[in-house]
Amino acid sequence: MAPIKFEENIREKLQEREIQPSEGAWKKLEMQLGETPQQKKPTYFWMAIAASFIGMLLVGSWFFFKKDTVTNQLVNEDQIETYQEEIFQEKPNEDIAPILTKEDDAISETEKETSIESLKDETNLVSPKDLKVTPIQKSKSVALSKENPGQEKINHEKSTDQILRERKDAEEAITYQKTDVHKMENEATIAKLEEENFIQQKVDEVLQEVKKIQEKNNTVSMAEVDALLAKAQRDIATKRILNSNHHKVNAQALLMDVETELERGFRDKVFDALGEGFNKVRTAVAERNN
Amino acid sequence: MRVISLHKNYVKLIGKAKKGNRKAQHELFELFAPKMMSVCRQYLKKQELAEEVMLNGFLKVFTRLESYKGEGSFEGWIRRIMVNESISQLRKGKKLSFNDDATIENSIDHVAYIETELEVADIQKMIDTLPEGYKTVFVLYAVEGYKHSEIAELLQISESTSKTQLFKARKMLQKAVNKQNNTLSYGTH
Repeated sequence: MAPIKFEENIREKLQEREIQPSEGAWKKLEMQLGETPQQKKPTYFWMAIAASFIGMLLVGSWFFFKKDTVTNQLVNEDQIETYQEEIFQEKPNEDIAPILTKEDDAISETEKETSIESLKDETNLVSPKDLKVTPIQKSKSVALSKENPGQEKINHEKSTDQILRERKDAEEAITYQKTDVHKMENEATIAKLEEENFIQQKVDEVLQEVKKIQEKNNTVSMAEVDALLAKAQRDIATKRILNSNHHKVNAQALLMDVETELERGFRDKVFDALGEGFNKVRTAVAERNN
Repeated sequence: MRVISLHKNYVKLIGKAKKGNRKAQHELFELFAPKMMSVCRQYLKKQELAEEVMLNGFLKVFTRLESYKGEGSFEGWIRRIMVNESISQLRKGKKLSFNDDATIENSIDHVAYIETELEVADIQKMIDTLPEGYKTVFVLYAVEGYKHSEIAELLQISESTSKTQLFKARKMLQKAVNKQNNTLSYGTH
C-alpha cells in the first residue's frame, strides 16, 4: 500500500537537493533577458521629483506671502470691532488726553503760524494753488511736521517766481488773496481740530480698552498695550491720508505713510502716530496697572 | 519568524523584478537557481543540458512574472515552469516514449517498499538508469506530487499509461536497490 517509505525518502531528499549552476549561468540569462526598458524609468522618476520640488516651492511662497495679508486683515477686523464697540462708551480719561492735545496744538499752531507768516512775509501775492498746499500738509502725520517747513519753503520759493510774473495783477490779487488766506486759515483750523479730536478719541479708546482688559484679567501685558496703540495709529494714519475735510486722498501723506512703514520699526510708527504724548500715555497705563 | 521575513523579502523582490529590476532578478535567480537545477536534473541526465533548461525556465519566469499573482508559493510556481521546460526538452530529443505494452501485472499492493535510506547521489543514479518515460512519470508522481490525471495531461498520455509507467518504474527501482544492497528487506503489503 502507498505511501511507500522508499519514495518518501526519495521525495524528501530530492526536494531538498541543490545543484549549483555554473558560474556564467547568470551572465547567460542576463544576455537572454536583454536590455529591458529599465533606463527610461529613472528619468521620469527624477522629473517627478523636480516637478514636486518646484510645486512645493510655489505653494510655500504662496503661503509665505499670504501670511502677511492675513495678519493685516485680522488687525483691521479687530480695529473695526473695537471702534464700533467704543463709539458710545465712557468719557475720555482726563489725565493724559489734554496733555497730548495741548502738545499737538502747539505743534500745529507753530506749523500754521510759520506757514501763514512765511506766506505773508515773502509776498502778499500768493496764488490760491500754492496756498492749498499748507492745509493739506498740516493734516499729515506729526512725524512729517519736521520735514514740512523745508518743503513749504520750496513751494513758496516757486510761488514767489510765479508771483513776480503776476505782479501786474497785484492789486486785484491782494484783495483776493487776503480773503483766501482767511478762508484757508479757517479750513486749516477746522481740519486741525478735527484731527486733534480724532487723536484724542483714539487715545480714549486705547485707555478704555486697557481698562477693560484690566477688569477682565487684572493684568495688562505690554503686547496688548502695543497692539491697542497700533490700532489707534492705523486709524489716525488712515484718517490723515483720507482727509475728510478736503474729500481727497493726500498723495504725499500716503507716500510718506508707506515710507514710514517700510523704513521704520513698528514702535517708531506708534510713536509717530501718538506723538510726544505716547510716553505719557504709556506711563499712565503702567501706573494704572499698579 | 524567519520564514515570514523570507517571504516578505520574496514579495519585495518579485515586485521589483516585475518592473524589470535587474538586481532583483539576479537575487531571485541566486535564491532559486540551485533548487531548480536539481529539479531539471531529475529529468535530464546531463548537467549542462539541465542548466540550459533551467536558464530557459528562468527566462520564462522573468518574462511571465506578471502572471504570478502571489497565489501559492513562488517556489512552487517556478518549479512548475522548470518541470514543463524539462519535459519539453525531453520531447525535443524524442527521448520521451511510453511503451504501453506491459500491463500492470498486479495491483499496486504488490509494490514493495524499501526501508533502506539512500544518499541523494545514489537515488539520482538509480533514477538515471530508468527509461525516460518511466523516469518522468516516477519523478512527477513520487517527487513533485502530481496526480495521475495531471501527469496524463502534462505528458499527453492516458491516465492508465501513467499508472503503468509508474508501476514499471517502481519495479525497476526495486531491482536497482536490490543490486545495491545485498541484504534486502523486501516486503509486500
